[in-house]
Order: sequence, then structure tokens, then C-alpha cells
Amino acid sequence: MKVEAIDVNGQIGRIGEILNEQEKNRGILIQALQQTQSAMGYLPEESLSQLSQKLKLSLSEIFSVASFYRMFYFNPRGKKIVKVCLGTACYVRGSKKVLNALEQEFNIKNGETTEDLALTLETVGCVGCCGLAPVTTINENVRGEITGSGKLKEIIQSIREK
Amino acid sequence: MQKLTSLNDLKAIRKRLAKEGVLAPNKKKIRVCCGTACRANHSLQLADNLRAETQRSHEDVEIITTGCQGLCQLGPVMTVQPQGYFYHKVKPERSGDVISRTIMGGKPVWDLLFRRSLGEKPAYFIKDVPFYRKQLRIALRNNGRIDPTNILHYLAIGGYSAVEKALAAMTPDQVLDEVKRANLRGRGGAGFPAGIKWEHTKKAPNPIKIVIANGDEGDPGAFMDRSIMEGDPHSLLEGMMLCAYAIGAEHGIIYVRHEYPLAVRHLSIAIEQAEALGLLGRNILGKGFNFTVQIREGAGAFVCGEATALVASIEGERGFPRPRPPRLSEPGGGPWGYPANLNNIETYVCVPHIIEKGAGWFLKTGTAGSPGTKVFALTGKVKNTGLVEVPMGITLREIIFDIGGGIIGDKKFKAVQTGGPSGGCIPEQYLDLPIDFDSLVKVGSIMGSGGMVVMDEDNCIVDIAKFFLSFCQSESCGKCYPCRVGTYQMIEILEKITSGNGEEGDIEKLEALGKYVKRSALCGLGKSAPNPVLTTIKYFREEYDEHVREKYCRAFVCQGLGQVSLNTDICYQCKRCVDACPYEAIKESDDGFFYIDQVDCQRCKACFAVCPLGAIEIKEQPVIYIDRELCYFCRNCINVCRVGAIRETSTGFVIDGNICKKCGDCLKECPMGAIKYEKVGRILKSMAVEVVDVPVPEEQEEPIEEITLDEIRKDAEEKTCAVQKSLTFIEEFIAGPMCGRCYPCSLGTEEAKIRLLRINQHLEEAGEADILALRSIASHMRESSYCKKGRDTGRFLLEKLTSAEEEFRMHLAGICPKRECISSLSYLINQDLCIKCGECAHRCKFDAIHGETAESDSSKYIYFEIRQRGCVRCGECIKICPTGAIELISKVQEEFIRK
Ligand SMILES: Cc1cc2nc3c(=O)[nH]c(=O)nc-3n(C[C@H](O)[C@H](O)[C@H](O)COP(=O)(O)O)c2cc1C
Ligand code: SF4
Ligand code: FES
Ligand code: FES
Repeated sequence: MKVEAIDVNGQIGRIGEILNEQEKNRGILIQALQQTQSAMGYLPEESLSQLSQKLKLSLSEIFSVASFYRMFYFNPRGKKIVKVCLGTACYVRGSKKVLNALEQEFNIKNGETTEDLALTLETVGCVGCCGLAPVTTINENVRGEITGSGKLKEIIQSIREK
Repeated sequence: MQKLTSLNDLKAIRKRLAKEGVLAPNKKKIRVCCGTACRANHSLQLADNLRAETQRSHEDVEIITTGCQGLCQLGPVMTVQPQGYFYHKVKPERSGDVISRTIMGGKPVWDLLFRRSLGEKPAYFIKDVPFYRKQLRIALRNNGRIDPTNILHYLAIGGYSAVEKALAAMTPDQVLDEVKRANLRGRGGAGFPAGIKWEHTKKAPNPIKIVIANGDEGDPGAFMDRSIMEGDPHSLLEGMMLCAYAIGAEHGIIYVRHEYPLAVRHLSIAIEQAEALGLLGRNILGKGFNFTVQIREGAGAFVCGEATALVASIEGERGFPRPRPPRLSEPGGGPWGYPANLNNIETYVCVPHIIEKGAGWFLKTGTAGSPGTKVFALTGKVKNTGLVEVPMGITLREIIFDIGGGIIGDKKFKAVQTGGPSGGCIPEQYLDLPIDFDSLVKVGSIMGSGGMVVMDEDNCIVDIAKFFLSFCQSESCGKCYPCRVGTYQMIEILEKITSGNGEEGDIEKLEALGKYVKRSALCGLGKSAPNPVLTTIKYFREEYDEHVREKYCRAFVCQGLGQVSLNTDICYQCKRCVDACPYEAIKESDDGFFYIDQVDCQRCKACFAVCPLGAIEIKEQPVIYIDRELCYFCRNCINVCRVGAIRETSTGFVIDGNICKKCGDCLKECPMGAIKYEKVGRILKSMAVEVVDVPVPEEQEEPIEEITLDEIRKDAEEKTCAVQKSLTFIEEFIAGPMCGRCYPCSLGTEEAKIRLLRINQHLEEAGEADILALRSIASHMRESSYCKKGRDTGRFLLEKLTSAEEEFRMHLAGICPKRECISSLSYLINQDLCIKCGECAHRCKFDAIHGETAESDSSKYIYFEIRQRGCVRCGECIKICPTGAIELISKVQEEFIRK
């Protein structure tokens, strides 16, 4: 979504009735960042300064908020985003091994992106599928019960394919 | 959809739905779980397949895609009505079977029914499945029954009737009183009574108030709020409406965690539909009550679950907690300064039931102090994981063993963590504790949001504590000092302990730091972060001590603790461990045995896993030290140490226990025996040796051997001494025809060889026991070796042992009557015969013969003599001496001569 297209009043909804202009602008900041990121894949500086003008907030304030939350990125990310769950349930069922195996397989560390921007490897604290622990998500796809090398290979395979 | 403008409209639509038979119990329908976990197992595909099958078969079946039904691990799960069969692990390709057998034929699909084990009868209905038997569903009652994206389903099963009742016949105060009387305690953390919180907010002077539902559910291992938002969003909306009605609020906000996209989707659909029906918005049902709800997505910060941080996040700020007061319910506390009531999702979901059925009904379940039920996310090392809703007051044992089915692989239960990273670990002794908000606090844990992670003996408690703490540490917002720095320090100490460098006093330091952080952190995150560490220290102190003092981790999780060693008595040299070891730490010693080089060993325990006999043992670390009394500073040990663990200090040499790998190399080098190696090394883990039935090979024609047994016998008989005869026989047998297939032979001959060498060389430890052992080895071989070769070898040995028993005995005294076992003798030069040619000194490889040759310019004073310390009795000098001046004297004779 283009920054210009953000409709402050529409975003804030009916609660806007009880807010002043500045509160409304601030109130939608996180949503606006989320939308920008989902459109661009990350938060380029250019969009942030546009946002700063649009919402009448200083760029440093926007950076301060964006850098606080874990889901915002300032660098381009891979086409496939693989998140290994390191939540408690997954941890006790051995998700550390899954992470190690993926790190080795793709030769990147947790939090890094491959050079060809094909893959970003991350960890997450619980995706809410603890029943299937250990869990890994590939983009929005949840893969569960990754025990044994067969299942792991399958996952590596599906990360590889385009 | 037409807007409902009055209570009568609502009644009318209910009537219409009943007439149309929506969700009528006798209609054919399949409820397929499409919760997140089951979706991961392709339940959407399954639902599509089912729809296609029904069209093909022209059956009138309703396929309902529901929210999580609880038993996520065995998903996709489904129930088929009207029979009520419960199926689990239904693959998409099985849809045909379900339709043709159950829908059309009315019979169950046998292999999809749940069985606890193969030998047991299947459970036909959901109530027969042990996982569901003890559950009581209040908060989750609609989950798994309705399609969450269809408001008509919710209406058909009586949804929004609590709102109907409240708007029709109750004042806001009556609603509030009912909730207060029900003593509904907050399900999101501390268990604060919801009614009292509502009253507080209601009393705030501002006319504008906000109702907030906290769906940030950041506790790893907890997913009940998610299931409710995904599977029953209207119950949440209804609960919020009742709250808004009671306290006089017009605005509602649901704060949902960013990781839950499906929850956001279902909630938005629900809000849309409710608005379309006029159940949200202005002048609801014509009663003059206004209420709207909005969704706010989080952005991945655990601390935003904390009430004041959540408010900051709603305002679009960094999610920093704010000091209280003002509390949320007070002016200036909530978002933009408006008073707000914040509750957990599950708390709100309980409200409609309380209003509908009355506080008295709610008080009947649960315990006196904590009425009602609680949803737990049961995970970890239990057989059945999933969502369980149970009445308060149930015991942990019932949850873990009856509902959860016990520990995976029937291992030993160790602890259960309740309340997520802010909770505590509860040990086995409290398994029978009836749980509610207060009892859990008493044992040092909390109810929290209801995560319940079960751990077994394979989980290291120190590692788990470290894990929880690092979670809180990485999620700390960094605003206040005790939390930011304190938790980091605590992790450093835990890291030290788990990597084998723990020191005395570390645990006390941890405790002190933990208490400090607890007391002085600003928000709940910091206040509770040390809990897992403090409770585990309290209940599992000995495990911490073990890590620190003995450098040993009983669960074998912590790398770098314990010592892996190879028991040569069991090892039969199959070499599997050598192949498995990634560090090439398993080596072969000169006498052909394998051993683990402690310097190279990284304690990865790969060998432990592959050894078929359990010869790899994991032991406590032994203690090595230098006895100052004995050490005379020759530096041999310093020179030989490969890791540089021996240091020279002003008072002597010391071994640095943190560097020393306990390889034992220095022991051999020390001429004084000053290095003490204390084998506290009790075996901590070795695999039980399984008796494997080796199929007895049929007696076959032996393939032609290069050396036959007869030849060996001939060689052996050429010797004169009985010990030599036996030794030759055994040695040649091992080198030649032995195949090593069976134990008596492969282990027996090796052992016999060692014992014979001991006798033959008159080593110090040789004794009666060796002869006895030899005899039993020989008879064992004669009786139970598989083939003739082995049995004959045993027979030969036994013959020699009986016919020349006396000779063997004399060897023990150091005498070889046949003067053949050179090692038991001393070499002496008979000076009368020596012509001082010097040949022997020349020949001696060990530089043991010294003297002056008879040359013209020599003094002729220095006789040739053999230095007994250097002599290894190789016999080379005897062979070379032209005059036969070198004589053999047995040690016994020698003593006699000396006297
Ligand atoms: C660090 C931290 C994280 C929290 N996370 C959650 C959460 O994910 N969900 C929740 O309902 N409450 C969470 N809480 C508790 C809330 O602060 C608050 O007490 C609770 O939502 C109140 O609702 P209740 O009275 O219905 O329990 C958290 C508290 C802290 C300190
Ligand atoms: S205790 Fe931790 S999370 Fe809470 S305010 Fe302080 S630093 Fe932030
Ligand atoms: S801990 Fe991994 S999904 Fe919950
Ligand atoms: S998601 Fe299907 S049972 Fe939980």
C-alpha cells in the first residue's frame, strides 16, 4: 500500500471520534508500518520519511517505534521466510536441532538472509501450534512434528523449491 | 442479512434457524477441525474433499469447518453426526471412506477411531477418548461445534442470548453484580477478580470508557486464547458487550498478537457480521446501547501483553510499561487517558455463561476461592498434547496422566512448568496438589495464562531454567535496570554453570540476584522473570549442585559435563563407535583395545548411542591432583600434558581442574606415582546390556585356513615351558584362525593372552587369580565355543593347566623351571667367561650394557655389566655373545645369591 493512500480516519475507526488529530495520527502508526512492510517486504527509509510527513511525526519517533517491535525490518528479506519455533513446547521437543540443521544446510545463521534473497531464517517464540511441536513455518505454512531426518529433508526440499 | 432492530427480531431469527434445522442434532453433518494445527495437517483439503464427495454421492450432509477441537496432536480430527463418531488423523484421501461408510452406511471407519494402544478397544465417541473424559467445557464449549465464520451458527446454538437477557431484563448494575458474585477471576495472569476491576472502571468519573481484550498471548507454549479467537470469536464479542453494558463503555479494542493471522481474520469476519446484523453499532436491538469493536494487531513484542505496555502500543508508542498508578481503570490510565477495563480473552468468554445461567451455576464448579474452569495448553513430553479445559481443583496428576496419557515413552516425570516463562517448575511431590490460583502461588508458581509444559528425565532442569530466563531477558523492554541488567547477569551465571565452569557460590549468587530483580523491576515481566530459576533451585537444588561440583548433567543435555568412557571389559571391538565419533576421539591402544581420548572427546555422546553392548559409559568426572609429598618436580607431567593443565606455582605443581581433560596421560609419566586419580567415577549412565540371541551358525566345513590348528599345536609343543606353550598357542590362534564370531572365543582368548603374559613376564599383579581365571576361560571355551577350533583351543589350554600346574605356580614365584620365560629372569654377565669384546653392548638397543672393551689403551678396570633397570630381557645379547657369558638367573636364585 502506498503511503499516500493511507486513510487516517478510516484506519482509526470509530474510536477516532474521541481522539484529536495528533492522537489519531500516532494511533495508526503501527498499523501503517505493518501495511508498508507487507507491501514492500521491509521498511525502506524512503517510505518512512513519507510516512513521517503524512502523519506529522518526526522520523526519529517513527524509527524509535519501528525498532522496538520485533516484526519490523529495515533490510530486504528473503522470498521464503522460515521461522523455527523456539517456544517452550517446541524447545523441550527438540526444535534446537531443527534450527541447527537448517543453519547448516543453508549456511546462514539465525536472523540472516541468503545472498540471493531466497531465504530468511528466523526463530519465533511459539506460533500457537504447540500440539504439533516442534514446529516450523515457511511463509504462512505451518509444518509440525519435525522429528527424524525424513521430515527434516522434506522441509529442506520444500524450502528449496521455488 | 437484515438488521435486527429489536429483541423480537432476534427471537424471530432464532425461530427461523430452528425451523430450517441449522445445526439440528439429528441432521447429518461432519465437523472438521480447521484450527491452525489441523490446517498444518491439511484439514482444509480434507474439508474440500468431503464437500466434493458429498456432491458426488448426493447426500445431504453439512460440512462444518470448526475451530480447534483440542486434540491437536492427533489432527486432523472430526466428529460425524448423528452417530457422533470421533475420528482422528484423517488424511484428505480418506474422505471417501468417511462418506461411504459412515454417512451412507452408518458404520464407523475402524482405523480412524482412536485407540490408546493396538491391543485396546477403540473409542467410538468423543466422550470415550481419555483425553476428553475429565474435561468440562465452559470457555471452549462452542469451539469445535460451530463454524466460526458464520454468525448464524452461533445464533442457532443460543449465542447472544446473554446479551438478549441483559438488555431485556437487567440493569448494568445487575450485570456487574452477577459477575462479582460469580467471583470470576482473571484468566490472563494474576487472577484478579474481574467484577472488582469492572466496578473500578465504572466508578471512574470520565464519561468515555474503553473495553480492551488482551489477546497478545505471548507465553510460549500457550495457545488457548488463540483457539478461542479463531474458533469462537462471537463469544468474545458477546463477553465484551456485556462488560461494556455493565460499565457504560462504547468502544472496544481487541489487541491480537501479530503471529495470529487466522485469529485476526476470523475476528474481523465476526465483527463484520455482527455489525451487519445490528448486534454491534449504534442503538443495539433498539435498546439505546452503543458499542463498537476494533482489532489492533501487535507487532511482535511479548511485553505488550502487560497491561500498561499494551496501552502504550495501542497509542502507537514503543511498548514500554508505565508506572502505576494511575491504573488502567483510573482517569489517565487507559489509552489516551480514558479509563479502560482490560481482561484476558478467556475471562470475557466466561461472562456470557455467567449471565445466562447465573452466578450460582458458575460457583458450583471449581474450588471455593477459584470457581469455574481453566483452559490449559498441555504440551511438552506428554503423549496427548492439546487444549484441555478442566474444573479448578483438579490435580496435576489427573491432567498429565489421565488426560495427557502420561509421559512419552513412559519415561520418568520430572517437573511441570505452569504459567509460562513467568511461572515456576513444579516437581513430582506436588503432583497431587489440587490446582487453582492460590494453591499454585503457594508452591512458588502461578496459573498465568495456562501454559503447562511437562518435562521428563531427559530435560535438564538447569537448561530449562536458562531457557525461560533467556526468553524473558530477550523480551525485556529495557526500560528499567534490574530487569535489563539483572536477568542478563543471571543468564551469564547459568551459562557458566551449564558449560561446566560453575563455581561454588554461583547458585547463591543466582538466588540473591533473582530476589533483587523480583523486588525492584518495574513491570510484571521483570518481577516474574526470575521465578523459573528460583523455583528450580528450590526444588532441584541437587541438580544444580551436580552441575557445579561434579560437572555432571544427569539429563545429558549440557555439553561439556560428565566424562564419556569405554569399558574395555564389555567392548568387543566392533568399531561402530570409532566410525560414529565425529572428533576421532576413539583410539586404539597398543594392546589392541579401544579407548576414548579425553582430550579429543567433545562429549557429544554419539558413541553412546551406537554401542550395541552398552560399553560406553558416562561417568562423573574423576578428580586428579598432585600429591605434594611425593612430587619431586621432574616436570615429566608438564611435558606430557597436551592441554597445558599443569602449572608450576611457587609451592609446587598443580593441576588446573578447569583445563584438565582427565585423560590420565600424566599418571603414566610420573615416576613417583605422585599423581592421584580418584575414581569417584561412578557410572551414571550405561545402556542395559540386552541379551541378544545370536543364531547358532550351522557346523560347516571350515574354509581352508592358512595355519591349521595342528600346525599351531606343533609350534607350541616345540617350546619347553608350559606357559610358553600356552602363550604361543593362544597368540597364534588369535592371529590366525580365530573368527571372533562368538564371545567365549573372541573375549576369552584375548583375556587368556593378557593373563598368560602377566604370568610369563612375572608382572607384579600376577597371582593365583590368573591361574584360576585361565582355567575358567579354558573350560568355558571348551564347553560353549561355537566351532571346533575354539573348543580345541580351550582343550589345549586346559590340558596344559592341569598337566603342568606346578610349573605355572613356579612362574608366579618368578621361576621358570625350563628357563625359557626370559622376562622372569635377570641377565648377568659371567665375568669369568667375558672376553670384553663389547659385542653385546653394541647390540643392546636399550643401552643397558655398559663396560670397557679390551683394547690396548683401555684401563681394563670397567667390567661389562647389565643395568637391570634398562634391561628388557629381549635376549639379543645372549644370541650375540661368542662365549656364552651371559647367564640367566631367576629372581629367586638372585636373591639367594645376594644373601
Ligand atoms: C510480561 C507480561 C505479559 C503478559 N502477557 C499477557 C498475555 O499474553 N495475555 C493476557 O491475557 N495477559 C497477559 N499479561 C497479564 C496482563 O498484564 C493482565 O494482567 C491481564 O491481561 C488481565 O486480564 P485478567 O484480569 O482477565 O487476567 C501479561 C503480563 C505481563 C507482565
Ligand atoms: S521489568 Fe523489564 S520488561 Fe518490565 S519495564 Fe522493566 S525492563 Fe521493561
Ligand atoms: S512452542 Fe512452538 S508452537 Fe508453541
Ligand atoms: S487444531 Fe484441530 S484439534 Fe486443535
